[in-house]
Amino acid sequence: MNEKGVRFLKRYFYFHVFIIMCILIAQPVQARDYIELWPEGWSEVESLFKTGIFADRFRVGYDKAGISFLSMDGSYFRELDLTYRLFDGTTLREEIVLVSQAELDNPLLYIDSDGVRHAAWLKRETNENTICYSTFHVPYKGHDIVEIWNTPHDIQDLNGFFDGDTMHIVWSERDRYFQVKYGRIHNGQLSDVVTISDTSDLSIRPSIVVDKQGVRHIVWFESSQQGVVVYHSFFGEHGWERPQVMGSGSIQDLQQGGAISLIAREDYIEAAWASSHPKTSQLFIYLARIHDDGEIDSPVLLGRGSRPRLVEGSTQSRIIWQGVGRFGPQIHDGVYDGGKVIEQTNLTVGRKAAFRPEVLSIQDYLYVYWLQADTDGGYIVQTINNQYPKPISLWRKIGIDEEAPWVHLLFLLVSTAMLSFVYLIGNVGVALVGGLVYFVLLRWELYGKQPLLYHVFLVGVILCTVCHLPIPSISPQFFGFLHYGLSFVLATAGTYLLLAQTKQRGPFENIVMILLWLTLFQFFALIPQNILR
Amino acid sequence: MSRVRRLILTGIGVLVIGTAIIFGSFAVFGFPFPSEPAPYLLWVKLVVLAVILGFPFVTSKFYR
Repeated sequence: MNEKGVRFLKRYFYFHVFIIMCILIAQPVQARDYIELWPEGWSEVESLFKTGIFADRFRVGYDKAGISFLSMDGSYFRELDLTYRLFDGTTLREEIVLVSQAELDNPLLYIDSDGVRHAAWLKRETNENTICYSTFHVPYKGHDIVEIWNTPHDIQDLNGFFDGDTMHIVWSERDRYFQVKYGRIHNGQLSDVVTISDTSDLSIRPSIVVDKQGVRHIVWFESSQQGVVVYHSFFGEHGWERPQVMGSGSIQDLQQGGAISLIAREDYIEAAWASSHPKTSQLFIYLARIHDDGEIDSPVLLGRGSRPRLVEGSTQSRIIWQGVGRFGPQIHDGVYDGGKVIEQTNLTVGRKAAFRPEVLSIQDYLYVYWLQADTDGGYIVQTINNQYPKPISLWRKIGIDEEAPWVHLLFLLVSTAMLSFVYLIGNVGVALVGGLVYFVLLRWELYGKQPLLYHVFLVGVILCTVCHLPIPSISPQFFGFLHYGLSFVLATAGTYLLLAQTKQRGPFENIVMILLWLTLFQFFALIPQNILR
Repeated sequence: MSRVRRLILTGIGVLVIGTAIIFGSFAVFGFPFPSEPAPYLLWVKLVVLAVILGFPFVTSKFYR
């Protein structure tokens, strides 16, 4: 080392020690190693109450008295409590145990225009299975339970739709084979019970909706050796129409308690369900339309996830579903149009898995509920809404820890820079092939005599295109077209500014250009990925 | 200012200003959501590549 270099190191010794200490102590002392990105325009997540996980769904309803919940609580599936709760905001106003210590399933809750709560559920006993029904008011003054359907057969998957003063219910009953049955409850009496499905396959998880013309539509899954099929039938002029195939389902979704979400729009019905993609075993959300004349559009794929809930009462077409995150299931909100999700938000923050979403639209504001495992055991119902958004600081908005922004920023810059070099090593193949293409092009004088900016731009485009070839490489996660384009422009501008300071142009400078562009591109592209890691 | 020092400062400037622009885009357009790369992305790149490869031919005709 020459004398000048030694003098330089001595002069800046303490500065270098300071920088290294900052890097070493930044993460363990103050900055978190990840940031909880808050969904913009949404409230704080609040915990409401503890519940069990044995029922596939808990139910939510809304009227002027507040938000009502019907859930199965308990830690043993034969000793569950059917509990009704009324919340005013996050304050519990009423808590009523409608049934205590029984084997229960599939709670249904509907609130009529007079504020009467209608509840139905399944009760299983050794030799008998029952569909039970009850009504009650708030403030609570007592309730009677009516057993509206008794059978020695196995029954499951009770679902329903409330229309005026009638509750339409559907369920699956093992009457030799599992068949979908329909009935309607009026004045506490079950009538018009009819079997809808007509095959020897397993007909399960029915859903029902009444469209704007008053026509009843039922959809369900049919599982056989050949796979799972989604069927649709409606009540036409001559009674229940012959079931039609809507699409395919997935045994994986059935095992996880999946069902079909139905909603009546002005001129058509929409149905959403989860099914595996033909090329993968992962679950994706599919959406299909059923028109007034019974015509069914081919299902379209909305995105990865399961347990879709179509939002009723929203001016936009919205869907809530259980998506997939790095640390387990997350709850996603999406606005869709023309068979595509055009806006998507992750409503769950942190690293705790969230699942089984339910949703209410109140005056066009969304109230979303889901289950999260409780550290003390059991599960907690959590909620978020977009009526009372949480104020978010600019730091938090851009993904920086607001409690220690500068330390987090320094840590992020250093770790991203180091990671971009790791990615550079992983992309040696891309650099080699891209470099080869570029050097071949340089043999043409027309390309060789172009200005430096042209060369940097050309190298960038070649490298971005070459990475699509089957060459072993690692690419940063894709964070949208805007971020990708911005990373490209910044890498190009940065490489140009650095190389413009050297007057020489030769093979060595060209190799430096390729490696520099790739490093800078990966640096800028990796920033959001590194924030979310 | 020596050339080496200017180069180092330019490098730091590129990283800092570039990062500020990236964060500025997060502030204006919201934090981006990780997604699958759009299938048309490759076509966009191929079109840009074709345009940039054709660019010298076009300019050489204008400035002949």
